[in-house]
Amino acid sequence: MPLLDATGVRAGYGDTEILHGVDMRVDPGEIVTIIGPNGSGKSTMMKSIVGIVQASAGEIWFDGRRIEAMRADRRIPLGLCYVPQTENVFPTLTITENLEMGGFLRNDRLDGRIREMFDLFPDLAEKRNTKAGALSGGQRQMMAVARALMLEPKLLLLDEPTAGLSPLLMGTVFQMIQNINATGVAILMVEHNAKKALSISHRGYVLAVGEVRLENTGPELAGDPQVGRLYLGNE
Amino acid sequence: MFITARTMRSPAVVRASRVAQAVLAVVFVVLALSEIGLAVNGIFLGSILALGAVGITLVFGVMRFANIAHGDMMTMGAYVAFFLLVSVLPEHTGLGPFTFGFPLLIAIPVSMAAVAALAVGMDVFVFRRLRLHRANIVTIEIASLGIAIAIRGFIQMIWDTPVRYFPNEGRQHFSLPADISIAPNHLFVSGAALVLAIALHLLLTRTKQGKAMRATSDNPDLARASGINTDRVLLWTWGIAGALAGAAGVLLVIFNATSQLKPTIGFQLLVPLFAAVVVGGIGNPYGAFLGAMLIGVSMEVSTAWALPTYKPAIAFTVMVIVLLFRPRGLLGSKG
Repeated sequence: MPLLDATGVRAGYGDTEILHGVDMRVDPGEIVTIIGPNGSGKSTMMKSIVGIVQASAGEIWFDGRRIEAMRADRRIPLGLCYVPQTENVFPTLTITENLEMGGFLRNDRLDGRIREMFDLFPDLAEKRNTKAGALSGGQRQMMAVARALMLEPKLLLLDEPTAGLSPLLMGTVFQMIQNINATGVAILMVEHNAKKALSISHRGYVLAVGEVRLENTGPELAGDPQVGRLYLGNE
Repeated sequence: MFITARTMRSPAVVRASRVAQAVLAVVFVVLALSEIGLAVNGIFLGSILALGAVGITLVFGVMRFANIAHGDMMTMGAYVAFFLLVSVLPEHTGLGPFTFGFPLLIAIPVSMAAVAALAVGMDVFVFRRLRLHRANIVTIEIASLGIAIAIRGFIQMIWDTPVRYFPNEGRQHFSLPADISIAPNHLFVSGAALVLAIALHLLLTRTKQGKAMRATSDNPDLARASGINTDRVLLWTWGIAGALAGAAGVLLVIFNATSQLKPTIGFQLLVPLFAAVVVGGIGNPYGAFLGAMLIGVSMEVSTAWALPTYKPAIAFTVMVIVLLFRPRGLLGSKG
């Protein structure tokens, strides 16, 4: 059974529909990447799944439960956590407080989970009392991911996790994504660095004008000349 | 030469700006020290402004609008206390050096609870519905103006328009060196405001709900995506802002030498309250506290040279001067 199963999802902002019936699936333990040109609806799809944007039609099932009509804060406890592309930390809260907010719904082992996050991200441990707004781009991305992992999600949604990072830091973030996936967490990500993202993904989707144009395994999509010509900048 | 963003940020301009800020700070301190009695009064007035301004800034932080009804919520707090002191609680002689008796110590928390309930009701019955209908900011501001007028109308309907008074026993002022004379009530006002400010600080920094309020103020979408029930956070914020407004209203009455109150008592304070919020940095409760002190002292010290009727103008002048050098306010954050 898929962990996430979205069918015919329509969503948008106000009267403007961005997604025109998107089907998407993530199986347990998978890394799935969504690529596509600007304005294709990649981020809107992520927000519809997590509930920040309400789907106007279609069904979204997560872990056997239908969720498209649920409020965002009701979907999170099911095991769904989201890291937005920008503004993905609480800037006036310290790193520790950010992690506490990430674990807001935890009833037990909050301190223990925070320690685990500090073990996983030692850079954050050194700055635990620093306000998140004062972190560098890379540290902020780590912070955002650590915050999302506080609830031990089954599916982690990452929107452009390497945006604005140096090539060196990009490599670190992709390695971190693989490490997190190795612990059993499924990952659905939107990524502009499509070649690298697809190379570590089990499957991928190509979105254009609010519709799925292609679906295949990550390496197949990365090597597809049509995808390369249209979305990866290959000649 | 044209002034561009580049020239505005040039090192020479930044240096000149810092020198100007330092000169202004020195001028402010010298003026305050030259009229130390008025400056001390200003700190007491600032304590009341702080309670109101912190409430306005907390609501702004999570709702992104300036609540015009906040002054009238303070008035409501004052009238709830008036009702209790005159009609419900037993008469009592002055408590220690103060002009009021012990019933006021009961009236303050009851007023806080009543105005907190009013504020929560405002959100549930008006602002939440406007949010659900994605009303724009102008509609929400007009709604808060409507609530302000409705609260004032309700007060006038029940208690009429004449000036009313809390039970008041005349008391001697404390005389300090340097010709400083302090009314005992003023010490109570600043002490109560300080206790409430510390309680709020502890709530915001030590409790899960307080941290969720700060998180929601920082980024409501991310708060929701973290599993925080932001509707509940909004209710908490309204409740706390209302409680502070209730306390500020009662303290505002006993701050006055004759303990008088009238239906416009809170509304008249709205201009300095907004000035304090903007000076401190919109959305930052610590900034609002600092801004309130600056505005309170400026308003009181200005009466040495200007008529008291110009106090609101002084508040806005100080605000404009601060914004010229620090466009985000004293403690405002980027964005």
